Amino acid sequence: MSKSVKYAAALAGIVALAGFAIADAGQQYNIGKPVTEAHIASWDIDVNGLTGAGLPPGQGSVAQGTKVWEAKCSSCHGEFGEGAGKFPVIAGGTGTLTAERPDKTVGSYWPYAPTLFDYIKRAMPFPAPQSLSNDEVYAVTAYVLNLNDVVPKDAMVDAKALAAIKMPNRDGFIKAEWDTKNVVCMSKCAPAPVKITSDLVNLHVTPEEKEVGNVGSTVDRGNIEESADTTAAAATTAHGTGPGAKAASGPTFEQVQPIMAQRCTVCHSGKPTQAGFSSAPMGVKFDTPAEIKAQVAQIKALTVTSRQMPLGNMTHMTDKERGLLGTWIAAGAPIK
Amino acid sequence: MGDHELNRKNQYDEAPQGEGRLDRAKFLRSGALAGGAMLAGAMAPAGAIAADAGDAPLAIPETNKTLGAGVNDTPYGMPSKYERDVVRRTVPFLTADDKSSVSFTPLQDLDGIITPSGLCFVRDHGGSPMLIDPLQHRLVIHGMVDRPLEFTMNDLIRLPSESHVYFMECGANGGMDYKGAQMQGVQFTHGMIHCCEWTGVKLSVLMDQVGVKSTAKWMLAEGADAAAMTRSVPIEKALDDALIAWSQNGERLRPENGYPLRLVLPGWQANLNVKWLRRLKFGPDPWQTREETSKYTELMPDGKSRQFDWVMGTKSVITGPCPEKPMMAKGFREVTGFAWSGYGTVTRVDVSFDGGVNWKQATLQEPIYTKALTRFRIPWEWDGETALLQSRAVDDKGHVQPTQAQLLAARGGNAIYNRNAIQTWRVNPNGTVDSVQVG
Repeated sequence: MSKSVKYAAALAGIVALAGFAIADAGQQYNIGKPVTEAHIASWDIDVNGLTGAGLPPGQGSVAQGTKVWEAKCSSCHGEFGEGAGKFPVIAGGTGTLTAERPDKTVGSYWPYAPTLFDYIKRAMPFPAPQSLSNDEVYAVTAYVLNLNDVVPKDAMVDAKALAAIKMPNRDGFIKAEWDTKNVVCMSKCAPAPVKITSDLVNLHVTPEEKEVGNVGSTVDRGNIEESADTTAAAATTAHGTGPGAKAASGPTFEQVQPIMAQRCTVCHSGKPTQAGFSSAPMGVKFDTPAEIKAQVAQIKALTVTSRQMPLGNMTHMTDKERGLLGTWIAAGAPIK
Repeated sequence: MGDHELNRKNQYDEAPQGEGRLDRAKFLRSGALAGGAMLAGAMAPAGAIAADAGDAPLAIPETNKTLGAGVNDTPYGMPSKYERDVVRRTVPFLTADDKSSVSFTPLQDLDGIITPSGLCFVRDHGGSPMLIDPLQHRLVIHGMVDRPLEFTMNDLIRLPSESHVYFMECGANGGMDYKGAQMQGVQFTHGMIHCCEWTGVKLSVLMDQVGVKSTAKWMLAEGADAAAMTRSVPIEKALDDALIAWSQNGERLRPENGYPLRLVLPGWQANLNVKWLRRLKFGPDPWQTREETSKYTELMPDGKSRQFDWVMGTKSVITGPCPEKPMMAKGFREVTGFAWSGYGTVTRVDVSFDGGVNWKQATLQEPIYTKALTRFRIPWEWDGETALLQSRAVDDKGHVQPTQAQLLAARGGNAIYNRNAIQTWRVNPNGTVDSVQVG
């Protein structure tokens, strides 16, 4: 018995062992209108991912899917499923599930092919859901499966073919259970003093007050405003009026690296994640401290001074971050 | 000084929404600058508060001397204009489009356990349908049943109804902080949760009406939105405490919370609580929909993923103080927050002021409902030194909220969903509060 079959059987067992009393024993109120299958056919569109039950008649080829994809899907998901902006990446990612930054795509992650038909049929294209014919949905499904090397270029996909496909990550799921074991300890529960493992004080990814879509002040002003404000300002200008030694000694590489990682390496990496980049633009990479250090003059010129980078500020680098980079570079760009 | 001054000026003068607090801040700033104390770095909170109160004799307020607004000037009442900062907020970089995105509940501004309907976080996958006419809306129940039926809203409200207070939490709540502290503010670290009184008919009553077959093991719930949201629900949950709700906090559901009808699965991941509910179908297997396979599953370091993690884990967070509610003065400050468990009732909350070395038991505020937010409180005398505040919830099934280190060890940093780790707030000597993680 395969792992997935075992898992399915285990799921059935959970329900069977629960010993519920099936409905139909309660009071009948004679409320509600009896309906026929014909009456609800336009709503009854669900497809079972595991069995393919509910897949409608029709078919589509990879070639037909290419045309639909280019017309109705590629503006968000990229011509080859690489994704545009923050819209989902559709293809690739094979072998990345155990990586530091996994790419969860149809090919690397989705366990069942009929789910793809179900989802495209009910919810895609994003601005015009339920506008595709069944044949078009089959065709797009075929195209996406081909992008992920699940079906060949000349494949024709229909209900039977979809239900028969075994997706690469079919056996990748386990039933979740409570998985931690903390205890109610009241004293000396950890060695004192505890160590701070993560401190976001200079990360600056929390939305600013005036960021689009938000209104109002997030923080009570009160009497501590001067000091709170100083924390950010001091990190930028290093004039040392803020609390703590961090501000007085200028930005550290530990503050710089997260900014580079978040705002720059989507493109400037040996493995860019940004749509349209298969390699680092101009060969400039910021994957390692040494690579960042080697480019500080360019970083200063293009990011701090002329603000040409990030391109179109697509990764939303903030003024505070630009200031911090500038201060760090002015202080000799220490990577310690 | 130049940059510093400019920075501060912009921050105050271009924030028109914060009027009430703005005035207060300006007042305090001018007072502090005159006194020359603030920029010395060592803050004197008590002195600043005294400056705010002033020594002038109390004046008779204008409101004592003029007539106020008419009783029906606002037929649907609104909060005071001084509460304009109490709003939902978003994190724009999280999502590609605001139609498939999330807004966060301002937990820092809530008292008690009920979330006002207009402040409930919103997670949509295809936007909120704002124009569903309740007279046109239908709920169809079919599949493995003896009598497939279609219900109007007027049909449903004739049936026996119940009201219960339940929390509802998005599976992604806190997910941004799985690997490390990323969000500065309890609204963003914990705000994908709300707690409302829900009114509707028990799903089991509707199952009686259609006669669900004994071979049916699962139910598909589907929404009338642009995502036609679908999730599979095991039949034991459907028969247990599931509610088909039309009301929230005593009035009909807000459009963004599912008007006119939604599924309520107490204690379960909010995504399963399908909004704008239009169809329930009974069948033999889970449907393995997109939202329960490629999403809402927790990828582990070994490449396997935890699936069907329906129950929201035992969890708590301190909402006062927090980054948005810094310490105003040395001395006494009641520490308060929320605890909850999708498994049942919160029985105990402990609070640590030293990052989890030593703990004290907090007081739980009645009423304590199962699968609802529970308010806890504990007194604190702050000595003005750095403190690491944590809260730890325990439920009646014996679950103890895990530490960040324990959760990271169990799931790794790429799980995204159902993060229920203990939150640490660092209170700094100047009174500000930061989100940090401790090892």
